Amino acid sequence: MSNSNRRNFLKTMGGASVAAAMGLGATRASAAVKAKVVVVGGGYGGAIAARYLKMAEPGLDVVLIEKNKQYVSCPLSNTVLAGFGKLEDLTFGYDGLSRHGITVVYDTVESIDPQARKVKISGGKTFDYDRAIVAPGVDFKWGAVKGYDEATSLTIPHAWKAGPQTTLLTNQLKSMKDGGVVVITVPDNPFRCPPGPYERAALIAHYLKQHKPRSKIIILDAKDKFSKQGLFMQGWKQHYGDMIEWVAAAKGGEIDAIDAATRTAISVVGTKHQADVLNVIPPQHAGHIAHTTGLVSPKGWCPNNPVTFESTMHKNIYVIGDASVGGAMPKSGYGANTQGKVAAAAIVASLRGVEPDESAYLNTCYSLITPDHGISIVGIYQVKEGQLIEVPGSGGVSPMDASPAYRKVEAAHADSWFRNITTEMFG
Amino acid sequence: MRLHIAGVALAIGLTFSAGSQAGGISGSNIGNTCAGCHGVNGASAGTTMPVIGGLSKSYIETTMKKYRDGTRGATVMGRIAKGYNDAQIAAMSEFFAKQQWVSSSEKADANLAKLGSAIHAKRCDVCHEKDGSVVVEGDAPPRLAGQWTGYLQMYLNDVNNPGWASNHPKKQIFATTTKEDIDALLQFYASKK
Repeated sequence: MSNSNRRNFLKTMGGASVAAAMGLGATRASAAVKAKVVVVGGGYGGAIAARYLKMAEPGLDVVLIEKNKQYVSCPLSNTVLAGFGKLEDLTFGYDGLSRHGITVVYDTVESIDPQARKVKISGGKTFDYDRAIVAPGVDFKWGAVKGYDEATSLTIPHAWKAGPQTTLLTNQLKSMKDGGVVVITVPDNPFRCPPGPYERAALIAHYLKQHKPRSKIIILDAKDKFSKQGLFMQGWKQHYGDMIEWVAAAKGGEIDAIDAATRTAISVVGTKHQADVLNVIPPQHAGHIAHTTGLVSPKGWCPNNPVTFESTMHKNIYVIGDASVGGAMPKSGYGANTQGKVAAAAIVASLRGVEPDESAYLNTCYSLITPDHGISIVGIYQVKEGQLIEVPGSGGVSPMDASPAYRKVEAAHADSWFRNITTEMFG
Repeated sequence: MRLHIAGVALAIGLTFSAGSQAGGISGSNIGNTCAGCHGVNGASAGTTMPVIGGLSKSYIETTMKKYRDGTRGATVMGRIAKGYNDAQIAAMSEFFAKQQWVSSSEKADANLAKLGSAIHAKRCDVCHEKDGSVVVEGDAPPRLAGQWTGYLQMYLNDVNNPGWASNHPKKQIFATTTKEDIDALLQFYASKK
């Protein structure tokens, strides 16, 4: 409402209706204080949603249910493979959330009953909710690549959820001989962290260049193009020469199966790539609980209203982060962070009985090619005709051919980004 | 009585936006998305990302518009600013201006800070008053006391070596500033909380 409209509106409103409007607002605000919100999943989306719910309405009863007592960040976990990052620096506890008044429960969720509005955890306890946020991240589609299942991942790592898998891949790289071949297989879109596989190739190359310079990295891709492609290819060439070879789907890069015994990836056209270290990034879909709750479309992701992130399958359940369809937003940590805030604000508005205010949707993502060579992609989004689309003329990637000083600033920004976004979640 | 009227206007604003499809513009909804890089309420925890909570509304608003039209260079901020309209920039600026300034947690080198104090007094204090700790409305320069050294270094290095950040309105001041001078200045600002 413009100022002049507001003045006119004020003029035409009688004193009684003004008082009524104020009274109504007060009642709604106090109703919100008593509400219960259960957040399932404590990652980049869920932890933020819990914190911002509590910031907006300190009286809310917010319960966060998370399987692990410690969270290991996927963003920056490729630096561990490179040898300059440490897993413990990427590991966080949930004490900060408890300090903010959030009840943190360490368990898996067994079921969600959208009609009765109850969340049951594996330990048997049930939590009632007025609103629920479901933020389970991704699950792997075991078997979508023939011969690759959860048991196989204990010897052929995916390292696409950080933690022991990151350590396994790091150790395999450490024990590989000089002159060895590292094969990374990459799924088709959509998947978690679109630039991640290409940053991984660069940072593995950073390690190999120092310790095993005769080695080679082959990326077998189910796609013909990828995120920040020009910048990655320029950076690979600049720092690692011909060490990294990218095989597009059109050149036979898409894989059909793996043979775990011989660490061989077999492409859809039958080409066999035998590796010394094989890293399979499997095709993905929304996390398990989203499926069993009936929040998932046949495509494997959770459709929702982008103004609020409320599920279009079940009322009062909001799906955020990698599990959500997300429109034009990538499945990224910053995307989940933004969505967590949008959902938190929308839930607070709905508990107050008002429409949510306009939201901003942002993604900022840094990738490292060396410790001193960072590149970025930025996206700003808006809702148009029910769809999340990029704001025309905004966002984009770092410039090609930028100076080393520019790349160094972006590498430093990557570190500051990580400190800020994790302090926001866990601080 | 005036306060009461303001309260009524606010209540009506809320109720009225309830009826509209898009809702209103709230500074927190727009500003909170910046926190992933600039910290909760603009209190940054990373050295190259400046503290923005507690800066003046006019400084934030002007700076965002300079990023948007390219008159201030940047790595990511130009690309980001292009995604926001005037009303959104005004809302986020007001939101951050309302926040309390939280100085960086860096410890300063006392000897360098002493050197920096003299340089600041001679060259900078005329605009960045009171050890650079002043935040006032209008076209006042930003607060420097307690700002992160990584950000200030990035900015000041670029003043003499134009790249993407150099738009200091009094660039000539830096013509004779050495790298050592800049290091001392950074430590001085880090020593002031």
